[in-house]
Amino acid sequence: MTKNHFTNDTNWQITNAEFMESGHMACPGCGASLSMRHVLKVLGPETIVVMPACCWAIIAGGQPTTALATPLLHTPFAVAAAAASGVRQALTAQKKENIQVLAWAGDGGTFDIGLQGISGAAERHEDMIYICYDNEAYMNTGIQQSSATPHGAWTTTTPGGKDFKYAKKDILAIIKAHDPGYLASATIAYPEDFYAKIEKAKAARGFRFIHLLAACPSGWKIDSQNSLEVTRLAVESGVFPLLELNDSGNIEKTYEPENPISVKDYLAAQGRFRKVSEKETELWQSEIDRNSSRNTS
Amino acid sequence: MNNLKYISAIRNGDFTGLPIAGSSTAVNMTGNWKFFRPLLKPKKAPCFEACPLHIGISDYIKEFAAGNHLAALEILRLSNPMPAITGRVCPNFCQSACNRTDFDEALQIGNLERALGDFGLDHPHPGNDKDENKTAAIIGSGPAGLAAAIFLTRAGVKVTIFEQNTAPGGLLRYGIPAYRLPRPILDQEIDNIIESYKIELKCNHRIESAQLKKLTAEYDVLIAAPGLSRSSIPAQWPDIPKIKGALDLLAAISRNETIPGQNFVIIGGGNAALDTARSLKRLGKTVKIIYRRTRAEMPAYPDEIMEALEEGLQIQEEVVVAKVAGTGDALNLDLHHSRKDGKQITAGDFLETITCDFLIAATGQESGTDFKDYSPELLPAGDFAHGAASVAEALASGRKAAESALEKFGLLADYPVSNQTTEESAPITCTQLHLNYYVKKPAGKTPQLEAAARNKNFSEVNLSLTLDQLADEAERCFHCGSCTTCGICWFFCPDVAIAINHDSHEAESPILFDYDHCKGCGQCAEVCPRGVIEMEEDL
Ligand SMILES: Cc1cc2nc3c(=O)[nH]c(=O)nc-3n(C[C@H](O)[C@H](O)[C@H](O)COP(=O)(O)OP(=O)(O)OC[C@H]3O[C@@H](n4cnc5c(N)ncnc54)[C@H](O)[C@@H]3O)c2cc1C
Ligand SMILES: Cc1ncc(C[n+]2csc(CCOP(=O)(O)OP(=O)(O)O)c2C)c(N)n1
Ligand code: SF4
Ligand code: SF4
Ligand SMILES: [Mg+2]
Repeated sequence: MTKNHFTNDTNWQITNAEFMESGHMACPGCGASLSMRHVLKVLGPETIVVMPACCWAIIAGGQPTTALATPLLHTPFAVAAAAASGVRQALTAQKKENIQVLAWAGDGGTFDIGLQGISGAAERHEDMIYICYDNEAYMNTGIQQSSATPHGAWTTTTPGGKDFKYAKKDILAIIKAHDPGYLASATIAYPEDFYAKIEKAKAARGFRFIHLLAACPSGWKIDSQNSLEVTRLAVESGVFPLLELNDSGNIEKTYEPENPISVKDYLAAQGRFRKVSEKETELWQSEIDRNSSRNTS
Repeated sequence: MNNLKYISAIRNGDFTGLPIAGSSTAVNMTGNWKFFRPLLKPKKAPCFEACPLHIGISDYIKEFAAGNHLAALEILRLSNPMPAITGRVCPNFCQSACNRTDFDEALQIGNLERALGDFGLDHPHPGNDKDENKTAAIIGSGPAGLAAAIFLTRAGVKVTIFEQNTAPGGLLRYGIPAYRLPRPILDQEIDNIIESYKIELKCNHRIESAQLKKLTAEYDVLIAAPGLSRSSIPAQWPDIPKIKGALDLLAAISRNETIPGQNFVIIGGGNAALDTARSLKRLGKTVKIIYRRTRAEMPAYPDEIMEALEEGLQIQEEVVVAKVAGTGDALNLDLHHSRKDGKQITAGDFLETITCDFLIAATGQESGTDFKDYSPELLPAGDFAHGAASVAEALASGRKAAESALEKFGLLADYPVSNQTTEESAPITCTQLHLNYYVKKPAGKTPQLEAAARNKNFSEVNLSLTLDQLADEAERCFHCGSCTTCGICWFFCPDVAIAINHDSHEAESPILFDYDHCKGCGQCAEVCPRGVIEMEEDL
C-alpha cells in the first residue's frame, strides 16, 4: 500500500497491485480504461467481471489475450445483468459469497438495450455491483446516439446535435425505484470520491449500481490529454453532479464545487457541442440551476 | 459433442483452441501508436531563482517534511551558512516569488529556514581537515567576509579575518537591533562557524589602506568586505555633535551605551531609519521619522514599517528639513512640504518649525575606508562591492569572492561553491502547475509579541515556531518543477505505463515510463502538479 499524497488531509490507500494490464486496446486517453483500472484496485482479484458488447469488450483484448487479471465473461449486448445474475447464482451454489460479481457495461448496454435485464436483477436484489461507464454514445460501433447522449451533442446519428427535446435518461432515478443496495454517480477525475464510493459498493450487499462518467476523446471531439480535465469540468459545471443515495432514501451530492463554472465553459471545451446555440446553452444552464442533483450529461 | 470436447480439454489443462484467454495484453506493443512521448523535465523553482544564494529550497523542504531535519539543515547550509540569522532578518526574496501566492498564500520559507537555523545552532558544521596550502586574508567579519571565509575553508584554504571592531558580525551586530536579531542567536551562529571551520579571527584589527600591499604579499589572496558602516550626513547640515548618523547611534545602542537626550528626529525611510526609531522608542525616547516621500515609497521592508506603526511610531510623510539651527541645548528644524522636481525632491512651502535634542541622519551609507583606490590588489565583496543591500546578497557576494579566489588557485573544480544553475531557462510559473488536486491551507505564520509589550525592552518581536509546529507548513510546498514521487501521474495513467521509483537515488529517474505501452495520451503531463512532465514528439 502506498500513501496517497494528493491532498495531505486524507489517508486513503491505493494499492500498487494492478488487475488491469498494459497493452489493452483502449484509445489514448480513454476514461473507461482508467476507471476499470481503479475499480479493480478496490475490488481486488476475488472478482468476476461480466461484460456485454461495448468498447470494453474490445479493450479487454482479442483472443488469446486479456487485459484483466480477473475472470471475465463476455455476454451479448442486452444481457449483462442477466448473465451476472447467473454467475452470482452459480457462486452462491458453491458457497463462494466472498467473490464479487461486477457487471460492467456501456451506456448503450445500460440505458437502452440492457435496461430490462437490469430492472429484473435489481428487482430480485441480485448480489452484484453493476457499473455503467457512460461515454454518452455507442462508441464502439462508431459514435451513435444513446439515451445517455446529452442533448446538443453531435454523434454520427445526430449530425446537427441531439435535439433538446430529448433529455438524458435519469438512470439513478430509475434504479432508485428498485430499492438498490447502493447507488451513486462518480468519475475518476475525483479520485477520493470515486474510491470512497467503490469501497462502499464493495462493502454493501444486494444490487449495487454506480454510474461513471468516462470521457471518450474521439467521441467527444477532445484531445486525449484533456479527457480528465473535461470530465472535471462536467462536475464543476453541475452537468454531472457526484451523487449518492443516502440512508434516508434521498439522492444527494457528495461534492459541491467551490467555484462552479457555467455549462457554457463545459461545452466550449468539447468539439461535440459546437452546434449548441446560445439559447440552448441557457436552457441547459436553467435545467442545472433548477435541479442540481440530476445528471444532465 | 463439442461441449464434451471442451470439458475434457479443460480437465486436462489444455486450453489451446478454446475461447478462453490465457495470456496478457502486455504482449501488445501499444507504444507504437503514439505520436508524443512523455519525458521528465525538472525545472527551476521561482524561489530558488529569486534567492540571491540560490538555496535548494524545495530540496531541503522535502527533507523537512519527511522529518529529516538534519538532512534538511545540511542542504540548507550548503548555500546558506547562517540560516538562524537570515531566517530572521532576510526579507525573503524567495517568499515573494513563491508560486503558492497565486493559489492561497506564499509558503513561509523564512520560518522554515529560521527553525532549521535554530536547530543547527548546536550542530557543528561539517569541519574540514584538508589543507590545500593556500592562505587568504579577509577584511571585515560581516556576512560577506564570513561567507568568503566559510567557502574558502571548505576548500582547504587557511583564512584569517581582520575585524576593526571588538566582536564579529558587522551590521548584524552593530546595525540590526536585538529585537530583530537577538544577540545570543548571533553569537551562537558565528561562534559555531568560527569553531567548525577553524577560521582565524583577529578582532580589534583595523586595516588601513597603507597595509594592503603588505597583506597581498603575505597572503595568497586578499578579500575586502569592509561594508558601508557609516551613515552619510547631508553636506548642508552643520557639523555639530547634536547631529548624528543613524549607524553610530545603532552601534552605541548595541554596545549598551547610555544615550543622552529625549527628543529625536530621524530623517530617512530605510531600515536604518526605522531600526533607529524603534530602538530609541524602546529606550523611552520620543521619536519622529521625517520622510520626504510617501510611506508607500519607503525603501524599508514592509513588515518593518507595519511593526513600527503598530508600536506607535510617528512617520511624517512628504516633508523635508530645509534648515537646521542650533540654539543652546535644542535644535530648531524648519520643515517644508516636499516638492517634486522630476525625480528630485526639493523644499516647497514652509510647514512649521520644530525642536528636538538630536537630529539623526539615516539617508545613506558610506564606506569608512579608501580601499576603492586599491582595487587591483583585492577582491571586493559585500556592501562595499555592490552598495548597501542585504545580508543574503552580502553572503552571495562573499561566496562569489571565494569562488574567484578558488578559481585563481585552480581549486574550483574540486570545490564547487556556487549553486547557480548554468541553464538560462525561466523558472516555472503557477500557470504551468496543475493544482486541481490541492487543497488550500492557511500559512504557518510567525506569532508576534503584542505591540504593547514591545516598546519596553529589546525582546525578539517575531517568536519562534518549532520544527514540529512547522511540519504542516513544510507540507504546503508545491515543489515547483521538481518530482516528489507523489504518484499522481502513475494514478492517472490509463495504460499502466508509469512506475514510480520511490527510493530513487540522484542519478536514477524517479519516474520510469514504459514506452512499449505508453500510447502518448499526455494525461500525465496534464495532471503533474509540479509541471515536471513534458510531451515531446515521438519520431
Ligand atoms: C540598520 C540596518 C538594518 C539592516 N537590516 C537588514 C535586514 O533586516 N535584512 C537584511 O538582509 N539586511 C539588512 N541590512 C543590510 C545588511 O546588514 C548589510 O547589507 C550587510 O550586513 C552587509 O554585509 P557586509 O559584510 O558587506 O558588511 P558589514 O556587515 O557592514 O560588515 C563589514 C565589517 O567590516 C569591518 N570593517 C570595515 N572596515 C574595516 C577595516 N578597515 N579593517 C577591519 N575591519 C573593517 C566592519 O567593522 C564590519 O564588521 C541592514 C542594514 C542596516 C544599516
Ligand atoms: C444485439 C446487438 N446489437 C448491436 C450490437 C453492436 N454493438 C456492439 S457494441 C455496440 C455499442 C455499445 O455502446 P455502449 O454500450 O454505449 O458501449 P461503448 O461502445 O460506447 O463503450 C453495439 C451497437 C451488438 N453487439 N448486439
Ligand atoms: S511552492 Fe515551494 S517550490 Fe514552489 S515557489 Fe513556493 S517554496 Fe518554492
Ligand atoms: S505527478 Fe508527481 S510523481 Fe509524477 S512526475 Fe509529477 S511530481 Fe513526479
Ligand atoms: Mg457508450
